Amino acid sequence: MEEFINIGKRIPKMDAEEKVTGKAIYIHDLKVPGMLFGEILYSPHPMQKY
Amino acid sequence: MDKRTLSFILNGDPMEVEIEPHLTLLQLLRDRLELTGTKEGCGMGECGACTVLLDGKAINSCIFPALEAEGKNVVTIEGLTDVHGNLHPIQKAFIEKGAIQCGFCTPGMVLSAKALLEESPKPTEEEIRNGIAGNLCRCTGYIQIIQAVKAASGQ
Repeated sequence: MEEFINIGKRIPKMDAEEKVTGKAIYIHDLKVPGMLFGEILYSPHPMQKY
Repeated sequence: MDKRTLSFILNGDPMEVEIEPHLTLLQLLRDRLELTGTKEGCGMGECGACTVLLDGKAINSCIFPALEAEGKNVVTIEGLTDVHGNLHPIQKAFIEKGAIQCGFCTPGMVLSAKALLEESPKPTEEEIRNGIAGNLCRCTGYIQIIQAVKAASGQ
């Protein structure tokens, strides 16, 4: 059988080390200068017609 | 509100911070100290993403008042690698066993595993399942995580 480079082998994920050390940056780990914050304002009136 | 002084040990370093008394340990770590390796999932002590070690025991930092850490030893995922940046054996095992997908639960999962292995160095599979029972993972199905903890314990 032909020798494959990747198929049939357990390849460590490229970002596994970042993730296992907590260095991976997720969306709410981000802080940028002048960043704005939003919050959802829910309607107090259920089932209203427009 | 009047600020209070909190002295504790964070990842081996003594630390003194002035904080509002209502801050949770998670808010202190993420927002004030910018250690974002500790994650906020549910914010209600259900999912375990915010797990840190307090005097070696796994706690949910999202429902833990920061001031309660006074005089205690806190370890976060940032403190698990050694001074040279080498991964902890649990971290290596997670990578080798494919126990990481999106990775959001991983810091908490690794710290729960550390608390477990300190208490029970050769845990049975049931003990491992119990040890990580407070940590939700929506990707891996837990099997690889259990295998990783088992491997980290040398079994």
